[in-house]
Amino acid sequence: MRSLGWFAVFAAAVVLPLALAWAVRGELWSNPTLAFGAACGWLAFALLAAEFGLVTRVRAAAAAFGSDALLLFHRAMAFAALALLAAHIVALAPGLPNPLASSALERWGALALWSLAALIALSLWRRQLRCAYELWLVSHRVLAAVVVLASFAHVWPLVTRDTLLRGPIVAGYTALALGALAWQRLVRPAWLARRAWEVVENRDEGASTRTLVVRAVGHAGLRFAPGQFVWLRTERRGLFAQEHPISIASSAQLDGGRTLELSIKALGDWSRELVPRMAPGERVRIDGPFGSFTPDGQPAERLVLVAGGIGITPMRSILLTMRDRGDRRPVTLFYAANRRARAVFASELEALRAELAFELVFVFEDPEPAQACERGLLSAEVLRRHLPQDLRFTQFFVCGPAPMMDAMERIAAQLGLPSRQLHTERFDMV
Amino acid sequence: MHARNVRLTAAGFTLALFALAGAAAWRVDSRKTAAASSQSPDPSPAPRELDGRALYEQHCASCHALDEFATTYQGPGSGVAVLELLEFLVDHGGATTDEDRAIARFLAAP
Repeated sequence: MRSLGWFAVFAAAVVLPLALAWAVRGELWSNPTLAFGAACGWLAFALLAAEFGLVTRVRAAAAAFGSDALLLFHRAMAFAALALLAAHIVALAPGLPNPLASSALERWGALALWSLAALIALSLWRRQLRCAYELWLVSHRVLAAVVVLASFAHVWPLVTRDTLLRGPIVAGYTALALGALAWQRLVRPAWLARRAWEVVENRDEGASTRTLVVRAVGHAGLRFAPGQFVWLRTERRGLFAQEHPISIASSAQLDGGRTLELSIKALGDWSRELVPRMAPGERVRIDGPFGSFTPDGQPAERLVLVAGGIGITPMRSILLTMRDRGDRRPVTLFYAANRRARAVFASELEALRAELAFELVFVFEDPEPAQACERGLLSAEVLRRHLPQDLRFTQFFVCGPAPMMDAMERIAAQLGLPSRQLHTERFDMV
Repeated sequence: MHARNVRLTAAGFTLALFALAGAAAWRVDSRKTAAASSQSPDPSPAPRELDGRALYEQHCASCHALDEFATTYQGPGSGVAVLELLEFLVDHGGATTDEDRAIARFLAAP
């Protein structure tokens, strides 16, 4: 129900300017094609502004949907906005919009359109374009600001003298979008700077993974639920400081939330080059916790955890928390990796068998011949071999790379698992 | 929330937005049809509608012949030109914004 409420707020924000355009006495368009184009323009404008709200890390919204779901929706809505803008142009002025046109109206509109197209292309093909994540992040924010400002410049001359509310609405939407960006990049980091954390250990876990152990400096730390993640911001490079979503790998019971363990796999420039060099005493900022990927509050008699690659980190947190809370519910972990040497925390997880009602199932694609494990990829058959037939009171938690997540959604359907029993956390989406 | 559900929700929402835009077009079309079918011997404008033709004649006709506008402001692809015309009208002359809209609507009507 919470999610329905948030969705209604989002939908209302997108539709409001068009509703006001309808309400304006003596609406300009007398031609249906032009009216369609104008309506598409209004909807695209509001949608682009509302996009900022989806990534502003409002905890209540993130808790209702899950942060990865919000990001997926954010991405899908960018396509929707682009489609609306294309329809707007086809209906009102067919042809390729020219950002150097003599008409200010066309110039600003074209700038907004091409900036949005560039933003989407960079997000879709970042890896193929060999664009570093950090560079992508900066370009994404700059292009997003350009899209909103150019849209505003395109629309503003048409509404400034309206007797109704459209002028203030247009200005308000623009201000809210840019305000969200400023909140994210300026206000919140300044607030977080007063709640510093410092690295106390930087541990090599093998399998290209390091664990940063960080401790709160002069504050009480943060309370989190096992499975949640934080945004980790390293202090280097000032305004271009790098910020990454990292699942908490430690127990939620550890040190009252004053100490966190963050396990980071070398997947990009930041994790490959900067993270290994982080030394004890180095300050970091932590924003969080976020996400709804947690068994806390879930009515489950049994837990099934499915992890792929570095998706093991929230599972580790869940398992360690269960151990520390004395939670003896049966739990099965399917851990997919290429081979044992690539399965980080493998030995530690095996040791947990003695402390939990815990079955650990390795699923290796390319195992050593004598390895006791499931071989190949995760499948419904693999899950059926290790799980009871009655899954009605079982909650599934799945975290891993996108192909595995898509496969698990299909497998869940094959197992007849209702969606309310399947919890997912996607990472590495850009 | 499943990625499949997110994608379905996003697709449904996008379709709903296009349907709304379509409704805007349909609204204009049906208004035109209703206006055409309710033509009376005394074609006075509807109470809330300003008469674009009368306003054009009052504010513009002395300097600009109607033919000047036909190719620029009517038909497909005239959207930007009409919006620029509205901007121009708002910035020039003594008509109110509502009157400017009515004039632009009249000039853009096929």
